[in-house]
Parts: sequence; structure tokens; C-alpha cells
Amino acid sequence: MSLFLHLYVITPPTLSGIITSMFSTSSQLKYWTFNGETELAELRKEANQRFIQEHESSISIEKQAKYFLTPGEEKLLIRHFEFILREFCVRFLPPMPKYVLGTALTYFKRFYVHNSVMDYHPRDIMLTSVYLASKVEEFNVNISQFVGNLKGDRDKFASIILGFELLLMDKLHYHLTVHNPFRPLEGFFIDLKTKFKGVEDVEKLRKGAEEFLDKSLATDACLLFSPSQLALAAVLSSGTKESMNLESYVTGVLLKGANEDEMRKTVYQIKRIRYIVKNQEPLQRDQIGHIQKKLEQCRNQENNPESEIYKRKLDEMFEEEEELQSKKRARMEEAQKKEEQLLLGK
Amino acid sequence: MDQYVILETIGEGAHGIVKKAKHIESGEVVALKKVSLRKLDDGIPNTALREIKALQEIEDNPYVVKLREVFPQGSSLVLVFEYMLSDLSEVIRNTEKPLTEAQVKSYMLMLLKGVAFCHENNIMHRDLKPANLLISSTGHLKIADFGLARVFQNKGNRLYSHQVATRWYRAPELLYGARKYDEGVDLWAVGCIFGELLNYSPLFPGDNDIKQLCCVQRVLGTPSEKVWPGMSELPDYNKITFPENPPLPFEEVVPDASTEAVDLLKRFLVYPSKDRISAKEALLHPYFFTEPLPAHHSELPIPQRSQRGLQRRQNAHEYKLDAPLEKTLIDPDLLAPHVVKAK
Repeated sequence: MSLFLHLYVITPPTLSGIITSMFSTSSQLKYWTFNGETELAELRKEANQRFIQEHESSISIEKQAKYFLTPGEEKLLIRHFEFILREFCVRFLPPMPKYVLGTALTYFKRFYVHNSVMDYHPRDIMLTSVYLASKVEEFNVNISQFVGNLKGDRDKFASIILGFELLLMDKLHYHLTVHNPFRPLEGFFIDLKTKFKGVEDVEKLRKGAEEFLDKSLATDACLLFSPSQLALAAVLSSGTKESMNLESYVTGVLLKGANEDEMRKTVYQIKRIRYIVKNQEPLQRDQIGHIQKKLEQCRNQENNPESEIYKRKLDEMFEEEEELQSKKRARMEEAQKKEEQLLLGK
Repeated sequence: MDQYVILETIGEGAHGIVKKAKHIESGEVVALKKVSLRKLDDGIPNTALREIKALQEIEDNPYVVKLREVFPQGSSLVLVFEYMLSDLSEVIRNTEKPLTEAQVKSYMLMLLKGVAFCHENNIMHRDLKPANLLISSTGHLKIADFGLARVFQNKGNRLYSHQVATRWYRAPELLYGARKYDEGVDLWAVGCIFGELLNYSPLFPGDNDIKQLCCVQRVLGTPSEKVWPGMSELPDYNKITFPENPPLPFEEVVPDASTEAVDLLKRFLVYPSKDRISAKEALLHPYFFTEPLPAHHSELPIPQRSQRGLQRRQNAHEYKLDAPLEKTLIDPDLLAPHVVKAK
């Protein structure tokens, strides 16, 4: 897709350079916007294969398919946990702003583009994504407040989250800034109100547009399109529902001065988004239990906070650091002694 | 970590140790900032996240310190920056000769270019001060320490903490407890740094928050709703009242400065944030286009970083004038074992 489309055509004119903080040079566009669903499926399949290759030695080829998760099963499980993530955020106390949810979900989705759920359990990554997103978006809750929103062993959850925080950030390549579609949506409302005479009550579009964005969260749209494209699709979808004709806004105001090619591309992108959002497959809850059982068997125990091997690894790391520290201390004491001896002329 | 050889410890920052190291492959000298997460209850500190967030999104700029990479090391997080020899506070403190007007102009030019770049990218630094303006071995100035940086948005509904920025460089709205503010806080700090370069001593050296306000008012005069619309709505407005005090002419505040310098300084140091001159605009001020012109970076002083420079720097302004005298003396008994006895 042309860069131009991201940069210029779709940015609501009243907002360009004022509110939108540089999507055009963002890490989101550079590293985390993919060509299409085919590319995503390909990358996820690679992650799945990588894991199987690394862990297949103990298993005969025939048993592999039964033992490991298939890419399809991984996808179902990821979507299931995305659903839980959204529910968790919506019910979070104190109430969590939408953009924290958006950022958390984006982290979660980005993580599983290059990693298999068999390597890292989606429950762990889900919780860590929400926690990291809260911090990055300056929604300040401390860890005990955070796990207070969970049922069960809260101390355990806290140590899981803190244990995976660094790993998550590393797998996200430290690209922490996420551009969500919520702000561009507000931008379009302002633009419609100030520059377009064709609609009487712009606020009527709000409900439908917000619903559209909520629905889009359950798809891979945030890995495929720019936030302003998503927002525009939301506005136009809501317009259709309310039988408001916004075509002249798009052609006459928003894309005024754009050539035919740009116009065509934009329309195509919007169509794609609307198709993807509308035609998403339902969650298949009946299969989740089976997949999770399978996962317990084949998952990488080294990354399972409840496994002995994980605990041992952690202890070893701490011991090593401890040892380094004490070695350093000893070295410093030694150096000091020498210096003293020198001073005292012994 | 295997890619680096540690050369020496430079100092201790707000959240961890800073070490000088060499990147083996390229031979480049870098500064490693190590943030240990083990003893932190809430995991990775916000300051580290903000720094990464701000610096990961902006493209390279010659006036902003470069974050080369980030990686985990055990339970620590390591941030790799380009290595910088010194900082502006050391330049002000240690240079033998006072800075020439051309040199001051050059520093201001680099500072403003860096600030303009940050603001264009919607990043407010919130903690500009001489110690955060690093000086490279080629004499260039680069803005560092984005631990308090925030990506701002113009809709302005978010509340920010007012406990930001080192006191001497803190904007008056922050001193009055404002929770909504904008990049103007950086422009105030730029004004304070400018004044310090012109005078060789800090402009508003308050030793607590109340005295800080006093310092500002002594120069700018007691603010009123007339010169500063909206001030009476600031959270701490009613908590403090000061005796009426007329503003001091800036010519007296910076007696040795040129007319253009005084005029530019005045444009930064005004009460209403939105009236402060933007960094981009300031770059076009006649100050930079009148003789003497800004010095070339090769004509700028490059002080050597003294050993333990960082540690000392943090304590440099912490002298307690009211500490009992006996506490400031050295106990001879403590020294005794280290004294070499003459034979």
C-alpha cells in the first residue's frame, strides 16, 4: 500500500500536525503495519513451525499433529484470550480509558505475530499487555491495585506479570507507542461539524462509529490499517446505518485535490476494512477447552511460571546476579585494602 | 551485553548505574544506563518507559541524544545511549574563561533546535536544565534525560503531575500546582537556562517551592489576573499571597547582556504560558543574526568529565546552610588511620 495514503489523504485536515503525533514516522507504520491477512497468517504459521521444530525431537512425526497445536488452533485460542482481555479492561476498576484497552490489545496481537502460544501462554501475555499498556498510557495503577481486579491468587498473578514485563517489551522491540483510532475518530467529528454542511446532526454518527471500532478490535485490523483509515471506515459505516450520505464529504472535503488513483485506493481500503469487520468469524468456545488441554501438554515449560524448570531458571538468574554483586563487592574491598596499605606505607 | 566492553562507571542516575562502554563491533563509545528491576515493586519504572517511548518514535536529530538500543540483561533493563563527555552545568561551572557572547548564542541555538524538534513531535521534556543538556566531544549540545517526557495532545483534557522539573527551572504555573499545562513549561526552562548562561549563575535559585515563587516574583513582579489571565484558578493560588512587588527591568537582571539578548530573554520569561515565544519562532530572533554571530562548535569549550562527576553534580546544589557547624567539620579520628606518618 502506498505510504502516501497513510500520510496525507486520510489524515483529517483540521488535525494534521496538531493532534496526530506523527503516524507517518511512527514505529507502528514502519514495523507493525502488515500487507494483508495472508502475510499475517504466513508469519503466524512460521512461528508455529519454529516452535514445533525446536521441540519435536521427543515425538514421532505421526504424533506431532495430535500433540502440538496447529496454526488454526493457535488462532482460535488467541482470539479467545483477546475476548477475555477486552472484557477484563471493560470491567476494570477504576474505569479504564478506551485507548489503554486499544494499546493493550495491540501489544497482545503484535506479540503473537512472531511468537507461538505454545512458547508463551496467552493468559500470561494478556495480563502483562494490559499492565504495560496502563503504564505506557499513563493510566496509573500500581501492581496491587491491578491484580485486585483479578480473582484467585493475586500474588501469583503479580509475579507472573512482573516476570513477563521485560520479555513482552523486548518482543515488541521496545516500540511502545500505539496509535489508536479513537482520536482520529474525534477528529473526523470535528471536521464534519466545521467543514461539511451535508449533515445536520453529526453526533448521531457517534454511537454507530464507536460500535464499529469496538467490533474492529476483534479483528486484525489494527495490524493492517492506519488508525485514521479505521476511523473513517467507522464514520462511513455509521453513516450508512443512519442513512446519511457522506460521499460528498469524502470526495469534496476530505480528499479534495487528490487524484483519481488516490481516491480509488482510499475507497478500496475502506471497503476492505468494512468487509473484515463485518465478516469476522464467531469465537468457537466449544473448542477452547480441548485446545487448552492440548496446550498444557505441549507448551514450553521453561516459560511456564508454575513449572519447576521456570522457577529454577529464575533462581539461577538471581543467584548469578547475587554472585556477581558479591564478587564486585569483594573486588572493591580488595582494591580499598590495597590502597590503604599503599597509603600507610606497609 | 556481549557486544559491549565496560570501560568505567560514569555515575549513578535516578534509576540505576550509568557506565561508559565500547561497542566491540563498531568501536563506538556508548553510555549504558542499567535499570535494575529486582527491587522495584511495580516493575519497569515509568521514567524508563517514557524515555523509551519518546526516543523510539522520533527520528535522529543532532540536538537530541540518541537511544541506540534497549535490551534486557537478567532482571535488568539496559538503555544504550551515545556517549557524551560532559554537560552544560559543568561547562558553566568549570570553564576557566567566561563564555563569550558568540558561545552563548551557539548553545542557545542548539538548545532551541532540539526543543523545537521535540515540540514538533509533540513531546514535552518537562525537565530541561543545564545538567540534562549533554555536551559531546565535538562540542555539540544534545538534550537528554527524557524520563519525565510526555507525549502531549492538544485536546488538553489529561491531567499531568505538577511535581515535574527541577525547581529552579520550574515554570510558575507548576509552582502554583497546575495540572493542565503545555510545552510552555519547557520554554520557561529555556529562558532560565538562557539567563544562567548570560549571568553565570542561576536566575531563580529558590531553595524551596515558596522561595522559588518569591525569586520569580522579585524579577517578574507580583502576578495579577490582568497580566496572567486564569491564574486565580490555579490550584495553589489561594494558598500563598505575596506583597505587591513591581517587576524588575530585565536590563538589571542580566546587566552584561546585549539588547537583543535581553529582548529574547523577556519573551521566554512571561507568566502566561501561551505568550512565551515558541522554540521555532525564537530561532528567527534577531539575537542570532546580529554580531557576534553564534560560534562554530569547534570554538566551544569541552570540559573533561571529572571522575565521579555525576555523583557530585547531583549533590552540587544540596549544601545545607543551616546545618550545625560541627557537622560540617571533619573528625580527625576518622582521618587518623589514613594519615601517613612522617618517619
